[in-house]
Amino acid sequence: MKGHVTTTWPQIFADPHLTRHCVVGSPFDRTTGLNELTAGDCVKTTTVTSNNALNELLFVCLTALVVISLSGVMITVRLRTEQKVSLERHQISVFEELGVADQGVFNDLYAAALEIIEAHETDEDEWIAVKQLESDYISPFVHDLAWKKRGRISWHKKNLNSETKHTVLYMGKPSVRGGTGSFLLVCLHEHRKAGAQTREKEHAPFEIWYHKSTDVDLPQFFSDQLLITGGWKEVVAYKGEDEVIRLKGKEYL
Amino acid sequence: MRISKAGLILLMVGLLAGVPGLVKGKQAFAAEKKLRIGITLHPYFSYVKNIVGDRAEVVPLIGEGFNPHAYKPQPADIKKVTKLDALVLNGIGHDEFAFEILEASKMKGKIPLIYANEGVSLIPVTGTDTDRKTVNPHTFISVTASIQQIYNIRKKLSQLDPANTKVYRKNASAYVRRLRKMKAGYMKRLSDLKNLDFRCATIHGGYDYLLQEFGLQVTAVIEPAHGLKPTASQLARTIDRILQLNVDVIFTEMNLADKYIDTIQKETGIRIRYLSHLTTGEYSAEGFEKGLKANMEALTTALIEAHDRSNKK
Repeated sequence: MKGHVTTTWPQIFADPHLTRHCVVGSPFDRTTGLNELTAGDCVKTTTVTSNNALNELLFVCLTALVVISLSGVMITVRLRTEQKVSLERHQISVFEELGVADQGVFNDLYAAALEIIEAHETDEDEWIAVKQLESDYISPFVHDLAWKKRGRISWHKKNLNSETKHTVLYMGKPSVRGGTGSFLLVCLHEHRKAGAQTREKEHAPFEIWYHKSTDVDLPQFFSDQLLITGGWKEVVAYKGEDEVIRLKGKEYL
Repeated sequence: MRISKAGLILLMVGLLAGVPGLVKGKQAFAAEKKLRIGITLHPYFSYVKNIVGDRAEVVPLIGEGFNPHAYKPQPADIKKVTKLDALVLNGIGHDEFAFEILEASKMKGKIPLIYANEGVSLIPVTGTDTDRKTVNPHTFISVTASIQQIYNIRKKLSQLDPANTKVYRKNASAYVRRLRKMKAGYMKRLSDLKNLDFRCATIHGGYDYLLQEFGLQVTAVIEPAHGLKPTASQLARTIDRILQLNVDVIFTEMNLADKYIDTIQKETGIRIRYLSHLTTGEYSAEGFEKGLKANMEALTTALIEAHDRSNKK
């Protein structure tokens, strides 16, 4: 907005050396009210210049640039790549790939595996019998409503114990088609002598394998390759720690 | 002052005799010093209390009257967390406040965090309007997923307090057996139901693990996202979906009074039943069992009713 004073009469001119304005001619002025002044009087005046539109635009752009740059830096600093559970070709994800009924059997079997291992560690290295699991109300072995709805899976157990390694297989296949696929729980427990070294790959305490077919046989011995060749897939759970990493990053684990 | 040779020997013998006493005293102090284990949610109080018995102290991080979904940390929480030896938390939902308290008290990285769901197999929320799979964090509303958590917590506590490993193991096994037996009791009541096609809707997407115990699944969830109320158009769509899917019962939450639930009931005529989210009320050792029992009772009754109704048709 312009801030200069317009005078028609008397004329005011600037004295460049004294930075003051002096009046010449008649003392009457309609706009400035300088009618009290007479020729030769001088007044100090200040010229108010406005911020022009270009400056304002530059200021806004600069501020926006600073905000965007800061946000970019913050995003880069706090960026976390989403962790995905990477699967091998012989594995399937229970969370992504199995149906609700199969998920149910898997989760029951997963919890049962913890109990079977717990019992093996406390009860003189024995693996619990299927009948015992059933009478202890341990799902998916117990014959309850869920068992009926998931195709009445029948379970068989096979001990594969050696001197140094205790292994047990529990295989379940549905009696009724259309419910679920077949499941194989493999529990492994090493009995190494103190100081003994082995080159064998370390196994998790248990693994769960899945076969789409209901017509499968209980394997006579256990090896990953044998199961893979036979069409079994190792089931990988999406676990609590995977979700914590996805939500919070590894720093909180 | 001169000390005679005999006097020096006597002093040494006296000091040596005192050492075992000192060691014993230190051991006794260690044995008496109980771990202070913090917990974020009600079920974790019950789990931990049943595992540790009187061998450790269980400290709820927030008071009884607060809703963990919307809890904002208080200054007193910061003081409380600095005095804990470990903190048991869900970590995948419901206890976001714990991370805020840890940050505010600068205790992040200084206190062992026991994620109850570590090693627990998670499932997606079913019955939603979208194809996107979202993790269901309600692992504590079930028997099977709780058993996994109890074993996990027991293992972690044994690492922190090895002197009590045997006690923790024994207590955890007894607690797990009790939970399994409780579930078996309800399952027995349902053993005669044949060809039951049970369909239920839930207001809150928190009951997938519970339904999974019974070989069932949620048909429709009414909340569009965790804790959000549906808009008018979403509600209209949900009502249509419930009617199309022939839903037998709608489960809402205890202590959740909302007009839209009345609207659904009025528009569909379907019976409303109540389930508990298990994250309110008094902190107690038996709280989880009581709450879960009430949930199983509600579900069992709904299943028997649905079965009788379908037989009459």
